[in-house]
Amino acid sequence: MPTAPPGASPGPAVQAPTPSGPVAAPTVALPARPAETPGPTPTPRVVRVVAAKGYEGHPNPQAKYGGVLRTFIERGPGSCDLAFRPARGRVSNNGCGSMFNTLLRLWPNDELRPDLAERWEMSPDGLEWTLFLQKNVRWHDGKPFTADDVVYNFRRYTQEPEGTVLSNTAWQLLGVTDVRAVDEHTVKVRLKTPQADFLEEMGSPFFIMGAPQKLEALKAQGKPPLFINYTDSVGTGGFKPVRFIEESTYEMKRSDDYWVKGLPYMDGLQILVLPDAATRLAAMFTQRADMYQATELTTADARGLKGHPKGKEMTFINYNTGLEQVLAMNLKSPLMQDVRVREAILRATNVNEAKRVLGLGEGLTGGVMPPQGAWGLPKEELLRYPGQGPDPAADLKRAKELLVEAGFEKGFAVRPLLSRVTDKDVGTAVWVATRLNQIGIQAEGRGVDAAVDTLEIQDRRNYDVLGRYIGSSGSVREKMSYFLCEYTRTGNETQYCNREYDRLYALQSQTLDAEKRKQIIWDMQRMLMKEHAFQVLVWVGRNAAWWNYVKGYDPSGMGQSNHYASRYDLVWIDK
Amino acid sequence: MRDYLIRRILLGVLTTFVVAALVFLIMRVVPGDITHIILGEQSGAGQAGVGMVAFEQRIQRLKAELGLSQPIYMQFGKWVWSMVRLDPGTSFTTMRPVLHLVRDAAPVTIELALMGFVLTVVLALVAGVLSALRQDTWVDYFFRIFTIGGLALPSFWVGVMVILGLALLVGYMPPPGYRPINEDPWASMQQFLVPGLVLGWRSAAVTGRMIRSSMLEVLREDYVRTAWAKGLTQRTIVVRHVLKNAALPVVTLLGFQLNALLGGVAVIEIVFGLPGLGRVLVEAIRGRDYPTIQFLIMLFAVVTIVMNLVVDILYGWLDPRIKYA
Repeated sequence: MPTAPPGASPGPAVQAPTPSGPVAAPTVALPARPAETPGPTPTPRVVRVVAAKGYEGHPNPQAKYGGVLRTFIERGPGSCDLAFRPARGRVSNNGCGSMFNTLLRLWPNDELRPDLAERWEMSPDGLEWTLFLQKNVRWHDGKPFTADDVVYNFRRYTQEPEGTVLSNTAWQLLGVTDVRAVDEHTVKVRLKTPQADFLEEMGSPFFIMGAPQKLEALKAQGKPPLFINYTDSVGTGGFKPVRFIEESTYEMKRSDDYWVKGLPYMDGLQILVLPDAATRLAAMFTQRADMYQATELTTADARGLKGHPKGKEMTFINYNTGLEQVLAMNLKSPLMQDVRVREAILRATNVNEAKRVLGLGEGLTGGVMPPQGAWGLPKEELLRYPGQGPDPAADLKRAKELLVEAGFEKGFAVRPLLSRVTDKDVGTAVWVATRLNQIGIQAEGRGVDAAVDTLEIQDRRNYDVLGRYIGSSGSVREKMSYFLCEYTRTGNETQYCNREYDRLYALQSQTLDAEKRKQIIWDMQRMLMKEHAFQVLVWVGRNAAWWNYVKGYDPSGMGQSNHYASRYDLVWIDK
Repeated sequence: MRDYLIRRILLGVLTTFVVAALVFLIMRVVPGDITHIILGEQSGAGQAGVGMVAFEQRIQRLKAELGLSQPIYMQFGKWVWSMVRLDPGTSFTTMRPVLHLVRDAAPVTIELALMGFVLTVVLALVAGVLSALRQDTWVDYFFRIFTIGGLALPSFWVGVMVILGLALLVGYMPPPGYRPINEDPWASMQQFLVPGLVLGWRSAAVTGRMIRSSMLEVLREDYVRTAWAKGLTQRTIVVRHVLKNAALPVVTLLGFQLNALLGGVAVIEIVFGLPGLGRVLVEAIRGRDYPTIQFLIMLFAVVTIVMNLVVDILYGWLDPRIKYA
């Protein structure tokens, strides 16, 4: 049964995986969340409602067929193969998402629904999943989609690639020990231990199903077996690639034999690459583009558009994401050994003040996990931790007192707060430094080249305090693994290492009961909060906008990443 | 002349070699280990985990792939040879052959640079000639403001203002998304006219001021006074006697301006969303895509050296008094 997290602010329900038997979970309605502040309210995030609705409601009788949607992205996708990434390269679903399907699909409001897997079963011990695949699915080249193709894709994702190509997925499927096809439309996946977020991973856009025959053909030609070239990409999605000009134009046309009957509604997609923000605004104003795709619209630009008379003809949305601006203290720094100093810094960088300045009043505040999702600590509990209170001025005053108590009446100087030269990175570092200055700590935010940043932060650990801008999925795996002892070498800028925390991390990942799992995750967060070394200053709200004639687009709840919001098979144009 | 050409070509080869050495050194002077920098982002939380190939193994793999395990002179030799063979390898970030990236992007940059160059010449001639002929009148003042504006205002700012101004005031924007001129000449013209104007304004300003001052100088020459006295028309005097003699320093300057245009395309390409070589270079720098960066810098260097040589030869052709020893 779905259970609401006790004590959480009117929280979303979480459906635990059902042991054995087809999962036939009803859709769970999400209770409305009261707005924190007047104005656009970010959507709750990190909710996992497993439903068996599939594409129910589509085709929508009100939808119109035809037309080409024109949208834009800041940079070309680089590679469409989300599972792998060339060294320093980039992969993105922004230009490619509509060409592929996943086994499960994350829908608006964070419903996880069937996609290429029409249903699934879990063995009583949680060690085996059986995936029952959709029938009558064909790859874009006409070949039928079968269980063998799923097995091929699983193996591809679990194997470490050669050379400088990096895997985005292998680390997520470490628990998979065996995958085999039972028949043409059934796949069994064997796990080392029960994996609480297995279905979530199957709905991740990183696990796109790609045509094995195409990948093998590429290999035979001596090319990397990856969907790097846009027009080489062969999936089962609603749109097929037809033309691309690198870093300029990506065009797709409707797949007439799409396995979801009646979809997609539009004849095609044209995705333009417009690196400059002013050009994107101009494209929107002049209707050279129909929509600002997720992630491309800054809060300031959104406000500018809204304020213009033409803004009345557009729809705007601001929603929560896995992007966050954070404060991290180096626990191995001699200056950060006194917990009173760390508390003072947390108080100086009060999250409500951060939201006001860094988030321009938008975004979410909270603990380590996103506050409104399934795993966030209750709001009333969060208020007990330093820097979370509603009164930044009082926090600032207390911070000064704490420094005096710690013997730093005259303050002290910290090493420069280095950050990469992007507005959000530098902005976070400068803001943190400014707040530290206000309590007598001499600090300076300094933007540096990525090479220097990597060298000083990752290799040399040359910092006391950092203000950073981080993009992650917002999942438990990504957010909480950050603090594991094994990552002190590479990630984990706090250098936090606690074996009990590591043990709890492993435990929660195998706990299938959602309520028990949540309690463990809460305990882990409490451990971190008490350490006073890390603070999410604000979860950045993302904006999207489209002309009112674009219908059916809803990135809400897809805040985990923009990849979720880049499938357009449910969108139509009413013009 | 032949000896001069041979000397210049040899000098060009030497310059190219020095540039090559400098470009090669870029990879070695970047702070830290280049392989750590390349793989650094990958090593964040969650991705260096249990069961993955260890980070150090990856570093060794990458070093081998980049040839960084070999002695530096061997690395340099191999790299120079790859440049000579025009085989710069595969892009780190796009995994496409660098030559393919250049092949796709070069037409865009060439079209933009040519459009910018043509508009530079036209605007500079109009501004320079009219300014000189109507010295200290409102026409002169207008073009002086025009040229000073071109010098003072950075191209990226002008580009952004033009894009936003056209969109907000007129509701127009050049069609985004590159259309090759052979596919759709009208759309292509629309795409390149505005960026060409923005790109050409600055060069036109420099060149126009040079034309103005050269013309003013020539206009005061005795032979021009004689031409006026002979009763020749203004057009004949300006075209045959003044412009031709004022053109010498301008030609040299235009050669440099063409190089400057090539250097300035990156910003314009970004603002107007054109997928040219400048964009490729910027993206390569953002991604630390060394094979692409190295090849493009070499390409720009060679183009510059060749352009300078062409300008020098042209100079001698235009002015028979100049003899190359």
